[in-house]
Amino acid sequence: MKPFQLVIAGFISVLLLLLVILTLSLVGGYNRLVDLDESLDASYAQVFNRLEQRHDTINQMVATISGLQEHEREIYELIISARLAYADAIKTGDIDQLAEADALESIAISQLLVAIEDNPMITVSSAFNGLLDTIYSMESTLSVARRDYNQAVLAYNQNARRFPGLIFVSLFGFESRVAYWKIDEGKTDVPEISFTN
Amino acid sequence: MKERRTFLRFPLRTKMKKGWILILFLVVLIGCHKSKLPEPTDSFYVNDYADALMPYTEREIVGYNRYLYEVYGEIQIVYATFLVETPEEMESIDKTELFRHWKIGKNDMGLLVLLYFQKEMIENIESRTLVGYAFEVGYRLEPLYTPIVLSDIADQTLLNPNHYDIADLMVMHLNYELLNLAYESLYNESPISYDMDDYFEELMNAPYVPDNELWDFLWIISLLDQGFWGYMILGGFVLLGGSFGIMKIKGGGGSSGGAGIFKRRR
Repeated sequence: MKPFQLVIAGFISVLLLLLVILTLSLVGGYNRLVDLDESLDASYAQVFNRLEQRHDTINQMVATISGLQEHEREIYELIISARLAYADAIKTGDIDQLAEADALESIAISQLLVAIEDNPMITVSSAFNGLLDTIYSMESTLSVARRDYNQAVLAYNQNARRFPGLIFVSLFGFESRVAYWKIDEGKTDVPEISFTN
Repeated sequence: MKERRTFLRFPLRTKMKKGWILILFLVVLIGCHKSKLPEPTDSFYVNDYADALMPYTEREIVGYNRYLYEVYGEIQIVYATFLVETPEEMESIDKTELFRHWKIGKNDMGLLVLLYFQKEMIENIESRTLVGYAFEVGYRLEPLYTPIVLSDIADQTLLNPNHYDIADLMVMHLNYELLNLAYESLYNESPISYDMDDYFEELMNAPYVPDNELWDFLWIISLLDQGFWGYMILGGFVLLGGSFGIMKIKGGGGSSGGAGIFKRRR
């Protein structure tokens, strides 16, 4: 082989090698983005499911309480407005609006529990105690689902804003930044339930 | 020439030796990486950090729960007891993180029971009083162990006045009920028949068996006594990140999402 041919062969080999590296990094980068995007969707679906479960439980809970309207009008109105806000957010599908409705429902629940504990005039049916445990569980699962979602958002955003992730994001048309689920400190705390013995 | 070879051989050996020591050091360092969450004990199913249970109860629970997992292949019911001084300490243990860290149950079919005890002195005898409990349910067991079901079971067992606050009776009764729910509802099996009075008799008459730590210690001593191969086996266990428990039971890879209940004594 002549020196000229050797140079050409070397050049082609280097070019092929670069092409292979480029293809592999493109495939790897795309797949990573898809994985993160899927994990984001799964986490969002989990938050949504948990919100739905809690919404149903609140409806059941309100039905088991009598005397609330007369004594704690404000709380009752808060629950009603939280349920309406949730229904509106579902219609629009806006994450921020859904997060606000979520926080509103959390506040309504905590105030409802405080009112029941403090006010002997409010009577609750026997099903209420079971629902109280369910509410604790719902709030706990929601808290974990929100945290998992925000962790998935963090992983996605970190990848999308770092090099070379940002190239793949613009190249394949992924979102460059996803909004976090807004959690108001203290407003979404899991209610405390105690026992006597 | 002979001198030169000797001169070359020793530094090379020394370098290799240093390299091995460095690798060993790194492996040990990685192995020593501490998480904030406690690691499960070798028996896995019972992690009695509060020292609230008698070895007999621990062995009984491990036997029953191990059978459920190894025969049916999915559900792992795991207990962890903690000694707390203040109510805030109970909340500092993230039950979901602990469940995920221990990877309880196969296909997300695990159940973690956390029991919080406080130290009390009754007539100069140190005892443990239950001050709180929590359940963390794996994703796929949520329809079975619902908050209402768990709360009812806890009322019947942990808060049962007939158990006179004896942790062994409370926890064993709880375990029977949790197991029976799984056997009856998921596997269509007949429930385990039990009598807590009989169990109390068994507990009182159970012979003393030293706990795992003593067996581990005796095992290490016997290995060291074997010379070179004993050291090799011991080294192998350390390098593989193994504990000194000969058969370490592990979680089935499950996860959970915060479902369950948490209650503390008012």
